[in-house]
Amino acid sequence: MAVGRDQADTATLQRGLALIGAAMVLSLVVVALCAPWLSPFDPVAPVADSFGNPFPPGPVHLLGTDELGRDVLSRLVHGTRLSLFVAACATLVTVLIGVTIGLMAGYCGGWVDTVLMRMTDVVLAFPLLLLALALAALLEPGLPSLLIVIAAVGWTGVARTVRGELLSLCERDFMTAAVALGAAPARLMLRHLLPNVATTVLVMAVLSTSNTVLLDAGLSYLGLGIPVPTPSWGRMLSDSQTYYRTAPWLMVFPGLAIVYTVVAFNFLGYGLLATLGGNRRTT
Amino acid sequence: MTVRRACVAAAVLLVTACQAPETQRVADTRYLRLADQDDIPTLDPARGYDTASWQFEDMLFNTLLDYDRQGQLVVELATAWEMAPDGRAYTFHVRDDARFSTGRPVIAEDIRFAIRRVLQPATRSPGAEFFRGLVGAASCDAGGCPVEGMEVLDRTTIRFRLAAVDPLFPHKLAMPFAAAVPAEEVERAGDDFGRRPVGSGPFVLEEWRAGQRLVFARNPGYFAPGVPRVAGVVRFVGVNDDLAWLRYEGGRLDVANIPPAEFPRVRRDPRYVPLLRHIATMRTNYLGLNCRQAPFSDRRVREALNLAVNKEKLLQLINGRAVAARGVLPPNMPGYDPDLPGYAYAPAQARLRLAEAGYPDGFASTLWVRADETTLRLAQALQQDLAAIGVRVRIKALAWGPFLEAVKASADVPMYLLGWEADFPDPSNFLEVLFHSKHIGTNNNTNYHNPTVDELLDRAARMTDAGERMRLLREVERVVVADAPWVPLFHPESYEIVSDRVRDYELHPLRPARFTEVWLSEP
Repeated sequence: MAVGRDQADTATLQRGLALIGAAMVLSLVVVALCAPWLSPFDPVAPVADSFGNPFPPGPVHLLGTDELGRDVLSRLVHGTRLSLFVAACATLVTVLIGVTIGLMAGYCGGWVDTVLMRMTDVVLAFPLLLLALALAALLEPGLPSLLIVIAAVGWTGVARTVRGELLSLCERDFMTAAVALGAAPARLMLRHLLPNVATTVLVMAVLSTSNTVLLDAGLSYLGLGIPVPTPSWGRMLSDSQTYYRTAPWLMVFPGLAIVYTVVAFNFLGYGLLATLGGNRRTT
Repeated sequence: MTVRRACVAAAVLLVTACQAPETQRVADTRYLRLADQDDIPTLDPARGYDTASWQFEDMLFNTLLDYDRQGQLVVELATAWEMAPDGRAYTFHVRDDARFSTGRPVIAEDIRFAIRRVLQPATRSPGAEFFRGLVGAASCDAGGCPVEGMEVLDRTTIRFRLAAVDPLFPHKLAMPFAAAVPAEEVERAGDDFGRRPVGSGPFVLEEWRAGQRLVFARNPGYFAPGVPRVAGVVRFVGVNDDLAWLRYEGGRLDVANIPPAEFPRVRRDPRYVPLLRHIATMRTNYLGLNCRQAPFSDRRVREALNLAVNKEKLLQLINGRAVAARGVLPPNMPGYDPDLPGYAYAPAQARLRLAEAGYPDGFASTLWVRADETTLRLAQALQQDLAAIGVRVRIKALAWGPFLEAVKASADVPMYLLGWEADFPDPSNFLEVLFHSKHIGTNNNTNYHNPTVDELLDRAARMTDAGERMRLLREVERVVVADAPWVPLFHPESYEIVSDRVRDYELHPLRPARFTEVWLSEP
């Protein structure tokens, strides 16, 4: 009988994945923190005479310049900063909203659960990007709006998962004991339930970061992100599409940066999931 | 939150729900296929005053006079016209075979009705000033608008009497503002006439799906025999230049603009060269500065901006498809002043000028632009130039319609990027319309007010000696350039490309391209 890789092998692989993911994320964080020192030029000012005629990668401009005479590498490096910042903030808000709603729904049950979960369903029923677009049209483009939009559409997954976990946790003996000892609802939620879902939440947060990066890039691509000329990967992509034939490097490098970031967070997320002992499917 | 933003949000959500399959008509390849990013602001000839509106108003309506492809005045609805010896009256004979698409014949009264409508304050027409010279027109107000200067002598004859000599009056009758409209349809549609227009032109509006497409069909009852030669015209909305180019290359559009990135290749490619259409327009693109708003109320600040902008860089961005502008008038306009010095690119001097005005460290401001890729690139280039002298610019990008509205009500628009194209080949169509203080609120969007300029313009308007008039208008241009409400940027050359089945598509020197003569070589 043919046998696939055994369990141990898989676990090692997943731990390896987590380490690779962690290293990749770390590299991004380092780039973001050291952006002013790492980027060879000002990301906004023209540094080459390449107006209307982007320069290809070369010894001075390692990744070339764009049609407004700006250094692509510098813009990419500064874009990392923005991308990670948006991802971190939006994920934080997403998790906060998701956990709160999930905890309340799972713990309270009854009509609270029904109302909160139907609300989640409504948000989930919309195609994510379309809902984000509609919200972005309502708000003035800018960093706060971008965060609000991403947070407003991103919390549903966390809320559902947390609620699901709670439904089984509430049946467990330690909960019965805590209730019997007269613990208040707030204490029950924060001291007994939250620690038990923390691992799941952490994994989901990491995984949803990669979604956030994509959504941020998508919204910026559609012109609903941070206004020009602040370098953002999505905006770089959309600016480059007219030059896809004559200056493909304008499109390739921000594309690669987005792929790298998404892969990094996915590796880390799934690696963590395996390492921390979770074996549920989370997304 | 504005109503418009809420509507956009609602529309985005509705789009998914309402994705109807393309109708048979739209797939009809006998139609000429065009595309643009933005919807048309209006099709009401009394209200539209932008290139997009005019291009399609031209299809639906007729004026007494029109321009041929050389830019010469010719008759359209008129069969003949005479000017009185004293130059203060014009008599027009209207052709008797023109009909509105409802079937009713066009009569002289329809012209009178249309111009009266433009003059009535309730219409809020941006063209009212052009007809203010008619006897009695000055007294048009909410109370009434008799305009004794327009007399319908019989079914097909109308006489215009002017308070003063105006050699440009025939040109004004060639503007869509003076197009014949049927009174009964205007009254029936009310404010909605711009969405449900009825005219006598070569095409009729068949369908207008807001934000998606406009479909125009051939008007079978059109008076000129044999035209239009195409079954109809579809104009898709929401297609930016890049996407339009891809669709053009894929054979799904018949006319397209060429994105700057593709232009050098297209111009060299022997496959495309015969399909290119090219014309020098009478147009000036400029950066408008709101003279009523600090810091642009200070002339030194406006001069500083003029000195700070590198126009050569802008030309590079659009592959040299333009001539750098030194003044207001385009080079092919009568009265163009080749000796106008303008402002050189001198950022150091610009900084000094800003310091003199009390802004040694610059200031922050907002630049309003139309949200299309090329304009955004130009805006970013300007942003870079101004950043170099310490002026920190935020770019605010809007769709064409809302952008025009905002610029017109320019109280809160400090800087904007726009172009002006001549309605008729006379310098007053730039200098008076854009810089006379009586046009504040319509086309003088910089709120520029200089009594000397007003006085010179008023004198020029009454002048019969053409040479002296030109001298006055040149002086106006010099004063305006010195006062610097604009940073004149460039005079664009228009390039379009057609598919290989399109025949007789020509660009027009004074109007957007027309479709009456166009035909398609294969279905």
